[in-house]
Amino acid sequence: MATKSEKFILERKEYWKKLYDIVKKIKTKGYNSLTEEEFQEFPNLYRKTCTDSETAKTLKLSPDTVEYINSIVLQSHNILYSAPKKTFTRIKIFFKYDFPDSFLKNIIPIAVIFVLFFGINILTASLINYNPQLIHNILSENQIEEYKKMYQDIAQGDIATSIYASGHYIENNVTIGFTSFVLGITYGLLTLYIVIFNGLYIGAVTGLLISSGYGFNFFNFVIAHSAFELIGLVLSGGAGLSLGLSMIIAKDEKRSIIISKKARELVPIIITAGIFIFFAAFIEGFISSNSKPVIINLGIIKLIIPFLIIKISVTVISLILIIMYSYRIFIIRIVKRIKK
Amino acid sequence: MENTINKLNKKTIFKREYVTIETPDKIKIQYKIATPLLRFAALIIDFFLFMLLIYLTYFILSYFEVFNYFSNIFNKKIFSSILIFFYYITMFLLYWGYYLFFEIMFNGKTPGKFILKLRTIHFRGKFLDIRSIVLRNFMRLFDMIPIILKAQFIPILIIFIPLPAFICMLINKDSKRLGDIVADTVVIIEEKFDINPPDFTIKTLNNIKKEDKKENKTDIENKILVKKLSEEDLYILRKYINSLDSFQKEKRDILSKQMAETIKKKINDDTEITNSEEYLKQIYMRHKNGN
Repeated sequence: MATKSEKFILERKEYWKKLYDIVKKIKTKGYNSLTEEEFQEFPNLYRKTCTDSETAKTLKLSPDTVEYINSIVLQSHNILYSAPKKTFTRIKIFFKYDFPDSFLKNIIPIAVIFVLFFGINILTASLINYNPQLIHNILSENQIEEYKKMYQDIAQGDIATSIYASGHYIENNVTIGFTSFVLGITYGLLTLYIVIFNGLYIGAVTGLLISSGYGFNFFNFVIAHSAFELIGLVLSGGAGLSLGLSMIIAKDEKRSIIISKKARELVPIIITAGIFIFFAAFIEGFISSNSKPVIINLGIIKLIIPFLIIKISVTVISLILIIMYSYRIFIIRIVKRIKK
Repeated sequence: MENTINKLNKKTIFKREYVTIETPDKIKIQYKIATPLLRFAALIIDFFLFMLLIYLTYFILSYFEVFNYFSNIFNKKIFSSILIFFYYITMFLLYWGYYLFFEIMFNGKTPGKFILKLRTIHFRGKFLDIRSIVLRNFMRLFDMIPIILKAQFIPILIIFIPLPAFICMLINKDSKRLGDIVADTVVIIEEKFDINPPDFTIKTLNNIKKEDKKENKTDIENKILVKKLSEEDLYILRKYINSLDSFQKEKRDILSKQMAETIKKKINDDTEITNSEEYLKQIYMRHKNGN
C-alpha cells in the first residue's frame, strides 16, 4: 500500500520511461534514429502523459509528482512542437500565395505610402526645376556642389569599384528598408518621417540636377535600378505604416494581440521588399555605375553594344517582371472571384 | 492604514514567475520565465560572439589581401575590391542574420541562450515558426537603439544598455521585450529533466530511543484515523522529516511541536504527544501503509 501519488506513479511509470527514452533518442541522435514503432508511439505517449498531468492536478497529488509529470510533458512538447524543416518548395508557396495575400490585405497603407512618396518626389522636383532658388531650403551649399560634381560626367566606374560599391549599397539600402518597417511601431510616425524625408531629398536632388543641366547623366545612372529599389522602399514603408495604423485602430481586442497578428501578416511584405532592394543594389553596383560600351569579339565581326542599351533593356526586363508578377497577384485573383 | 496598503498592493506591478501556455491540444503547461538580468547576460555573450565573428572575417580577409599583395596571383585592384565586397556582405548578413540563423537552426536558441539554458517559445504553444523569429529579431533595431547606432559606425566594444527593451521588460508582466510582444513569443528557462520520480520514503530518525518508539506505536496504531491528510500536507510532512537534520536543535524542537499540534487538530486525534518527531513520522507511515 502507498499514498495516492505513489500509486499514481507506480501505475504509469512504464510508459513515462518509454516516452523519456524516445525524447532522449531524438535529442542526441535526431529523428532518423527512431524506429517506425517509436514514431507512431511518440505522439500517443505524449497525449497520455498530458492527460496524466491534468489528472494529477485535479486530484491534487503532491507537488513534486505534479512537477515531475510536468517536466516530462515540457520536454516532449519542446520536441513535438519544434519548427518543421523548410524546403525549397516553401519559397514557391511564399511568392505564389503568402506575399500576394498579405499585399492585398494591406493595399491601402501601401497605396498611401506610394502616393505620398512619389507625390512629394515629383512635386519637389518640378518646383525646384521651376524655381532653382528653392533648393537652398533643403540642401546646403557644400551638398549642392558635391552633387553637381558627382554628375558632371556620365558615371564611369571600372569593375573594381563597382564590385565593392554594390556591397555597400546592399548593406545600406536594405537596412533603410527594414528600419522603415521596424519604426512603424511608433504608431507609424517615424515611418512617415522616413518616407517623407526620402521623397523630399530625392526630389530635391532630381530637381537640382535637371535644372543645372545634368538631367541626362542623372537618369542614365538611376534608370536601371530604380524600378526595384523604389518599389522595395514603398513596400517596406507601407508595411511599417500598416503596423502603426493597426495599433491606432485597435478597439475591441488587446493592443498587443492586434499588433502580433498584424505583424505576422506583414512579414512576407518586408521579406520581398528586402529581396527587391537587394537585387536593386546589385544592379546599381554593376550596371548603373558603368557606361563604357561593351565590345564582344566574334572572330570576324566585332559587336559594340552601347551601355545605354543594356541599361534600358535591364529596366524593361525588370518592369516586365514586376508587371507580370502584379498581373498574377491582381488579375488572376479578381477573375477567380468573378467566376465564383 | 490597511486601506492604503490594500490600494498599494493593487497598484504594484505584479510579475509572473511562471507562464502557463495552452498547446493546440488544449493542455496547459507551465514554464519558468527568464528574468531580464539573465536575458541581458545572454545578450552580452551573443554580443561578444558577434564581435568575434566580425573581427574574424576582418582578419581572414586582410590575410588574403596581404597574401595576394606579395604573391601577385590575382589583379590587385579587383581582388581587394572583391574582399571589400565580402566584408560588406558578411557585415550585412551578421547584422541581420546572426540571431535569425541560430534561432531557426536550434529551435529558439542562440549561443548565449544555450549557455544560460534559455529558449524562446511561442506564447500560444504553437511551434516557433520563421515569421515570429524574423519579427522578434527585426524589432531588435528598435529595442536596442543605443547599441545598434553605435555598433554600426564604431565596431568596438561599448558598454551599452538596450533601454527600450529594458523598460518594456520591467513593465511587462511576462518580462517580454517589444520584439516578443510583436512576435508573440516568450523567453523561458529550460528546466532539467528529472529521470527519477519523487522519493516517497522517509529517513529513519536516529535520536529516538527504542523504548519510546514501542510505546508510541502501540498508542497510535490502535486508533483508526477518521480524517486523512491531503496529498499536499503529506508532501510537506515528508519534506520536513527528510530535512530535519539541517535544523538547529532548539528550533527543531519548537517547529516539530507546532507541526505535530497542527496535524493533530487536522485529523481530530486526541492522543497525547510525547515525542513530536516520532509522532509525525508515524502519522506519515500510517498514511503510506494505507490505514
